[in-house]
Amino acid sequence: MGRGAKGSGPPEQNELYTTAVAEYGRMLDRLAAGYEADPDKRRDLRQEIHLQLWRSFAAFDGRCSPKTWTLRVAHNTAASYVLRERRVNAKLVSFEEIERTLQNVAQPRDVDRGTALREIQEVILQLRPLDRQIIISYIEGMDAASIAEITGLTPANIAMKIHRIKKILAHRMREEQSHA
Amino acid sequence: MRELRELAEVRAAWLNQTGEETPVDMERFTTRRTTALFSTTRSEIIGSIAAALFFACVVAWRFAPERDRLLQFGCLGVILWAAVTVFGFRHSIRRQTPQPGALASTGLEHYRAELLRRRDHLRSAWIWHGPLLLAAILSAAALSKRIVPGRLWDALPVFVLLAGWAAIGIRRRLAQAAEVQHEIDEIRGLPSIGE
Repeated sequence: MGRGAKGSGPPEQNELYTTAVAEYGRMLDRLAAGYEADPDKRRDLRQEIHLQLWRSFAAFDGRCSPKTWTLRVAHNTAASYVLRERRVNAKLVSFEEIERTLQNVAQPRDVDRGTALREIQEVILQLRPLDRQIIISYIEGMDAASIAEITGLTPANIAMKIHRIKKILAHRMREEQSHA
Repeated sequence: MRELRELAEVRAAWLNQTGEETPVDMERFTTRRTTALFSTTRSEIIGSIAAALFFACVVAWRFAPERDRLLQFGCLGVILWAAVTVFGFRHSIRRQTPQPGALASTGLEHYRAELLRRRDHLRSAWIWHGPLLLAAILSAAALSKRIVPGRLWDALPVFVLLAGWAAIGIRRRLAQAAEVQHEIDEIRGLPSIGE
């Protein structure tokens, strides 16, 4: 099993899981970071994602590619986690709600990566799960069609949301630099 | 062009963030999670049974000699309701065990299903708070009819407080259910690839 994990399922299930972790393990780590800021809780969420992923491969039926399957299971596990945690956390918002609060900010100087990472994490962690799936997939470099396959939204709708993401992120970076 | 450079920087920062070094140990995690779930469920059930037994003891001790129908049927109602609550809780725990492939549905389908489940759970507030509310109303009614021993009159403020607490609990949960319903309505309006 990948990275120290142990399982006792059928060989195909273990093989699918091992391959998925080898190919997308780092992506799953980043995905967990998009759903939980606290390092200890994030570690638990990551374990939960791996557990559900391994369990899910027992029912892998080829209805989509292993990559899409892996990301769907990971995002859905994390979305359930967010809903559970939300009972005690602050209200989550949509892209549209963030966009409405944007104000004009002057052009900035260059941005550094630490600031960029902090900004993107702040934006992601206040979003509703469905919007988080889109923004995480987008910054992972996936196209609208692939994101549509994971989320179930139409590619046209995804493209519209990506447009909003670009606007929000660019604004946040400008704002951060104007304060620096 | 400027915007593209900023976004490239954001993407690079995201992709190059520090990775998780702790290895995945699912056996240990499963054991820990099962233990946590078991202890939580066990404490909930023991708590429910203890509360019902305590209520039954108080009723038997103070109310039973009165032979009043309001008290007898009311107490029976509260005990039955409490039993239904415990069974409902048990059923909802068993129902939530997901099938292995269930998590591979699209994000939209999964999130909608989760929201519907949460809304239904919140809307069932009357099941969880009902016995307490009924017990408080019953006790207040019995006191107002003066069919209980005099010493219980001192407990009237507590009954009023319990009734208020239960009513606030129901209202809070219903307000949360309305928020979840609002989000479900928003999702329903989204175009999906299955349509």
